[in-house]
This record gives sequence, structure tokens and C-alpha cells, in this order.
Amino acid sequence: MNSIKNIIGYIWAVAAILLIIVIFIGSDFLSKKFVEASGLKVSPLYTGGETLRVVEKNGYKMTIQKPVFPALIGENADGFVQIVLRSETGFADVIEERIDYDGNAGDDFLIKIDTKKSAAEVSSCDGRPVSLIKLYSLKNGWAVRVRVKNERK
Amino acid sequence: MNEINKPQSGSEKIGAIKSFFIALPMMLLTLLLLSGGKKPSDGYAFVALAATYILFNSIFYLMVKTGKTDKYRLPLYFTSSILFVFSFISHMLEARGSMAFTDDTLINCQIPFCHIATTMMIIPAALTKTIIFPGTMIGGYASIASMLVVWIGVSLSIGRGWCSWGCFFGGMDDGFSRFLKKPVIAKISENLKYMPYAVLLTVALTSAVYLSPTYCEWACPYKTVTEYQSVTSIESLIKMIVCVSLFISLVIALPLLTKKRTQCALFCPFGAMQGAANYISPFDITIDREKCVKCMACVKNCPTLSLDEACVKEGRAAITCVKCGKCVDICPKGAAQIHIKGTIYGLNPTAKRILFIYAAFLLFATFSGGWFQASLAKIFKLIATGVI
Repeated sequence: MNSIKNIIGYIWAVAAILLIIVIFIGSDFLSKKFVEASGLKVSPLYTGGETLRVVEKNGYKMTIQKPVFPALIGENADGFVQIVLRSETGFADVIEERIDYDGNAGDDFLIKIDTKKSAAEVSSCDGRPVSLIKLYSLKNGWAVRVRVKNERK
Repeated sequence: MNEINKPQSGSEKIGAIKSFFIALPMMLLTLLLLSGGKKPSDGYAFVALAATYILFNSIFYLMVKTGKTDKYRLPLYFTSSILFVFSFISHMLEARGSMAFTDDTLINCQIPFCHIATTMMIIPAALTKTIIFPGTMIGGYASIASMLVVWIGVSLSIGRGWCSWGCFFGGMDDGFSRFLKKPVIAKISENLKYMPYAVLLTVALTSAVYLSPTYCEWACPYKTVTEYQSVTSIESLIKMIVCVSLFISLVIALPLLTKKRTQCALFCPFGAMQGAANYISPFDITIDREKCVKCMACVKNCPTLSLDEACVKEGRAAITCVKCGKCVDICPKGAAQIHIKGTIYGLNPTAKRILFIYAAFLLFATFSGGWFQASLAKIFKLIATGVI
């Protein structure tokens, strides 16, 4: 019994060495397989959520992302909608955009960005409460996070 | 003295030719792994590859020949962590012009992932299938998936040996803890050993509640020498003060004064979690009770407080052991040994030690080889041309 345990022990130790070689040589392959198998992705709290639609505007592109209601279990009562504006040529001093994030063909809120002062304002278009969480200054644009209520809660 | 009665120690010297042949597989593997099977991009990269290759293999050869593990591991590991910081900062300066991360970095999820963040990811990942970290899953610099794959593999292989051979930060407090000959603060309360578990519990729970990596944001000392949030508010200023204070105290001052790895042994939540990986690793540190003369040199010198009188009595290091090899090096009777679970105690300690250093050194060489070479190439270029 002891000699079997002894042999298994040495095999285990050699396998531990081979494992180190395998994880480094196969790092790219294993990483992809790990993501596929686990289904893990970066939290929408950081990515801003999936893209709802992209709108081409005069001189810039606006990406409206799906509302995110982050919670450890289920959904939170409060969440946010992220709007990203990118331009290769620059922006006007003030940008105003009406956003429909729930796809009901009606505007939900209005965002106003003062690009000179790096400031933003948000106001509701349909009476539902909204507020500005943060305006992010990007290399070639702006991102706005607007606090919204979860209709399902 | 016949073969059977001859004391067997894990630190026995081996002849030069035998050592060369034992080190030969490492020479071949590191040539492949360090070069990635590609030609270096320019002359500086070639010299850096050659220097790294020769240095790493000389150190490994000396480990085999002299029977000493920690004696050669430590200077290389310390150098590696300093070069990591140099490489990381220069990469950040090239990529974004600053060590501070910006809104752009956050919104585009471009923060490099660090293994310490794993402690905060597990509960949210299990419940929401998402990673609460602004990094990339695949591709880019230090992606989440590649770090997780390496972490899982290393945990299965050498367990918490990660903290002495893999962690790119561990070399700092490890190095500072060896600067003085004698500790200025000789006694550290035994109860402090439980501190990392309290930190782990706190950061795991707060991260789950706030869905945000709280340790990274509020308490990581290494932000001081890698990247940090731009100071734009009172909150970000407080975060910065906390991180810098922790770095100065836990990574520099206390290791110098106590000769212990205080950040790793008393604060790091990853270290606390990684201890569990010692259960699944084939390697552990044992103390032969028949050979042990209870001099307690191992207890006094263990940099992570993983050995105490109870461990010596029991003949095994605590689960917090980082497998640095210090106790094996200094034991005057060869009682402290690197052991392979399941095998017969005390038999073939040199073979067991060599199997362990193969796994551990391969991890070190492959993981740190990239930034080691990149940093050396930059330093050589700086010396030759005056610009990085």
C-alpha cells in the first residue's frame, strides 16, 4: 500500500510540473475555453451594459446601452442607462440629445453636455425620475450615466 | 557510515556534472518559454532575452548544485518584483501617459487584472456570472481569463507557493524583510496571523454587497507602485493616502523592522485564500521529528509565521506556508524538507526538492520572464541611447 502511495505521490508531483508547462503554452487556448465553459463576462456595472442601438449623428456617433440594474441576486430597484458619444472630428460646445431607452417610441430623458465646461444635465421627458450619476470624459468623446428606476420593481 | 545511516537532507550538494544534467531540461524549456518560439524584435530584445536566460538558468543550476533554494530564489524574486514595477509603470506611461487611470480606461474596461482581485470576484461571479472588475476577459494586457487560468493551474501545482514564486508583488516585502541581519521588532503577536482571514472576509463580503472590488479601491498597498485612481475628490484623496500608508508600513517599514513578510503574512486577502490551495498541491514542508533538535531556527526565520512550536511538534508547516524554502536551507540537521504527499517521509529528500523547484522555478521563469526581458530591454536601450 505504501509503495502504491509512493508511486502516486511522484506521479502527482510530475503532473504538477507538466501542468505549469501546459498552462503557459496553452494560455490563449485555455483562456478562451475557460470563458466559453464558465460563461463569465465583465459586469455591466463596468461595461455599461449591452448596446441597445447606435445612432449616427452629424459629426458623432451615439451609443445607447441597455439599462443596468445591478444586484447580487435578481435586479436592483435603481439602475442606470449609459450613453456614449464618440467623434473623430470633435463636438459642438453644447450637445443635446433626447433618449428613448425603453423602446416605447417616446423620449425618456434629455441629456445636455457642455463640452467646454465638462458638465452635464439630465431632465426627464416623460415625468419618470432621472438624475445624472456621472459624466465621463473619454479620449474621443463623452459617456454619461443616467440614474433610472426599474419598472419591474 | 553506510548509505542507510547517512543523514538525508533536502539541502544536499550535488556534483557539477550531475547538476548540469538535472538543469538541462530547465534550460531547454526556458529557451522555448522565454522566447515564445519567436525571434526577438530588435537587438535590445535579443540581449535582454540572452541575459534573462543566462541569469535564470545560472540561478537554477546553483539551486540544484548547492542544495539551497531560498538563498538563490530571494535575490531573483526581489529583482523580478522591482522590474515588474518598472515594466508596469513604463507600459502605463506609454499606453496612457500616466500611472493614474482615467475615465476612458474605466469605461473601456482596460484595467489590467491582478490575482488579488480574485478574492473579491468569487461570490459575485457565482451568483451573477459576471466579474466585478473593469478589465477585459480575453486579450489585451493582463486579461481576466488568462490570469484566472494561470492562478488555477499554479494553485493545483504548488499551492501557496504562488506567493514565493509567482506573485509579482510578493518579492517586495520578501526582499525588504531580509535587509537587516537581526529584527528590530523581534516579537509579533501570534493573533495577528488571523488578520488576513479577517481582511479576506471583509473584502469578500463588502465586494459582494457593493459589487465593487473594495480591496483594490480602498486598501491595496501596491496601487502606490502600479496604477491608481486620479485624485479628483476627497474620496479619491483618502483612498490614495490609505494605499500609500499601507505600502510604506506593510511592504517596506515593517518587513525591515520585523524581518517578516508583513504584507503577505498579516494583510493580503489573496494569501489567506491561497493557503487552501496547499491542500490540493502535492508539495508541502515537513519536519522530520527524529532529526529535529528543537533549535527553532526554522520558527525564528520563517518569513510568514507559518512555523511555530506546535508545527515543529506535529512535523509539518502550517497551511499558510509559502514554500520559499528558507526553513529547508537553514535547518542545521536537514530535518525541514520539501515533501511530496503520499511518499515515504525522509526518503529521497533531494529528489523531492528538485521536483518541487522544477515546478516552482518553471512558474517563476515563465511568468516573470516576460516583464524581466521587457524591463531589461528598456534599461539596455536607455543606457545605449539615453531614451526608453
